[in-house]
Amino acid sequence: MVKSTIISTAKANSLYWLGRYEERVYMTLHLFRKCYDRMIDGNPDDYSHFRNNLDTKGKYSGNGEFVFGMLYDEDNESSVISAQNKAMDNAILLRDLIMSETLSYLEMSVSRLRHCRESQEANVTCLQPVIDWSLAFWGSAEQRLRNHTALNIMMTGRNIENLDIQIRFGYSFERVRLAFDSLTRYNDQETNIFDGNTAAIIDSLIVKDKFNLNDISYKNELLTRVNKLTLF
Amino acid sequence: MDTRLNELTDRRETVNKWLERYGVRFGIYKNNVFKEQLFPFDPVPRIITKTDWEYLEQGLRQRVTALNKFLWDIYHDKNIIRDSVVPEEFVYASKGYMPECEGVDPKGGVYAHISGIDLVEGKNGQWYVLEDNLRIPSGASYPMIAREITRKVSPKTFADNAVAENRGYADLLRQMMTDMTVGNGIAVILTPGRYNSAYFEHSYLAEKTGAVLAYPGELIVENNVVYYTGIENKLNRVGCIYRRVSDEYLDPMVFEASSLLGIPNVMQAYKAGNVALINALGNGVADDKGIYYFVPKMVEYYLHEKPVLQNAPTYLPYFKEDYDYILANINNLVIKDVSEAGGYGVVFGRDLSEDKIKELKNLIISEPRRWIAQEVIDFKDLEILEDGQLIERKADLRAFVVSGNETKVWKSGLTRFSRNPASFVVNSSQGGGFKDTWVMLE
Repeated sequence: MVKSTIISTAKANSLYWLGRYEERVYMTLHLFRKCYDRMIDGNPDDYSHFRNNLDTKGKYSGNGEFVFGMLYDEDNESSVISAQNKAMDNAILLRDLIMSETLSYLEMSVSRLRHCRESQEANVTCLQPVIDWSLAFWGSAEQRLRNHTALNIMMTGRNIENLDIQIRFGYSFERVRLAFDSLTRYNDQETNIFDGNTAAIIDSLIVKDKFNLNDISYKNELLTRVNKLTLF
Repeated sequence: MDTRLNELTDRRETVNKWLERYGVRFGIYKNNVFKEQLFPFDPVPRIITKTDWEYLEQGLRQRVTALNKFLWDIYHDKNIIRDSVVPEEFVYASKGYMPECEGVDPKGGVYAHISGIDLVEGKNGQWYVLEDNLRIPSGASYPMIAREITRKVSPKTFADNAVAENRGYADLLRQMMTDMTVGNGIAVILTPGRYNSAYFEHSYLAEKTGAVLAYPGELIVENNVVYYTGIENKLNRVGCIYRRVSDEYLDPMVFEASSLLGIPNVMQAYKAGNVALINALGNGVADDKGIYYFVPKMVEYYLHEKPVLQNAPTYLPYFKEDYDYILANINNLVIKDVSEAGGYGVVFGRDLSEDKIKELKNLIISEPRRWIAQEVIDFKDLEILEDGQLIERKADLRAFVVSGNETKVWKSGLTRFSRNPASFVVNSSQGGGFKDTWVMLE
């Protein structure tokens, strides 16, 4: 049977957003664990930095509500469960490309999050399997996605999300530059999904003498450019 | 229950966890809201002996061969009508008959590439065909993945029992699609989308066959050739479409104009012989509940053989003798509306009040072509496991027959059971569950 060599625009879109949302699940949990650790014996308002960086719409009074909301509130677009649901909504359209085995890690994560929410589990450790399955998902996807264009699009989504979060959370110049360089590896000739002008502007912005994430207008420009790097 | 199944039944929960892990679900609409739910799986398989299977295989191949010949005849020479084997009213009044398919030549003369034949086993051991599904029969993916999982969870069960492999269904489909493909194009499975009740199956079969899962809007027709469209307007020629979209929604330029699920002008490409449609358009005329009555006659007419498989004893009010019998014996019969499917439009005379019986009789009198009546078959019940106890429930078997250059019967099938002890209706849309179907090798 003759195999297709191309992927549709809709699937490319789903691949890109799958990459973004799954990375958001991983990064949110990763950063949330650090915030959670500080809140154990720290200032009751220690979560506000985390909340502000994510622009979360959730309005929570106090640590307890914040923890539960950031993990399980489906009305909060920045919560882990929202990102995981959206990753799943995109992945479910791609079974023929990413394969059931890869998809199964997301199925398990959705199920785990719902189970923890129902059992009112506020200890973030209960979501360690979600982190493990996220990493297993990426390993499985790289192993099984034979269509390189598809893989590149998904990895582009993943790396843009990673870069976006690093900028929001004020990572160092070295880390942000490395994240951008990693991202550009996925824009090969065949895929050609970057907007060339935008890529050049970002490249010129992430340089040692300009880099200053404490400057709000610089930070916002960088975030805007990063989010306009592709047409998805 | 056979003690060789103990390990598998003990591990039922593990099997269910795996089914959840793989997202084995089906969708239903309740009050216009889409909900996905797990398809309840029972670990006790239906077991078909080697001898029974040889009989079924022979009968199924024969039946589907005759049905394919019937479809060709209806859309070409119409000899079976001319020879008064099937009355023309049953053909042209059928909702499934499509005048647009007159004279169209599907490759190899194959119309029903994938046939789902529903059977039941009577308590006397006799198998009966209840229904032929020749349009978009669904359900094969469930026993496929159930076998994959049960072999993982309980390898000992399969080491101790000589069960025919069933995971080759994807190979059967792939070979058939290869046989049917036109112009060295790619094969696609066209799904209406993720909110279709059988979406899991569409995506799973695409994965397993290597076909592209195509969504509405991704296929276009240019110069009577179908293309799959990619980013930057790249095009791949499509040679074969395993479409999971109903006939009436497949081409808005010819059929339902409001359809957003179809491919504009695909009918022209199909008529020009530039793409294979799996299954072909117009098959509904052969799986109409009224036409069902005539299938054994088709076997004799086209193949000059005695039918191997029996229909359930069926009466057509269209014939005077049957009409009288139905009205006199309605309380003992099951009455089916030929225009309904999915377990709907089926009533048992014995369950109706006097008033309802009168109402039904009036409907039969006013529209005799709309109804068939069947004797209630005393099904052989199958054991299912519920709350750790084995109980018996009604069950049917959907056997799958794949026709490409050859007609092959898949050595397995979807066994559906009713979870309601009082019900004969096994459809998943009405709360039924499923089992694996084991065909024994010795």
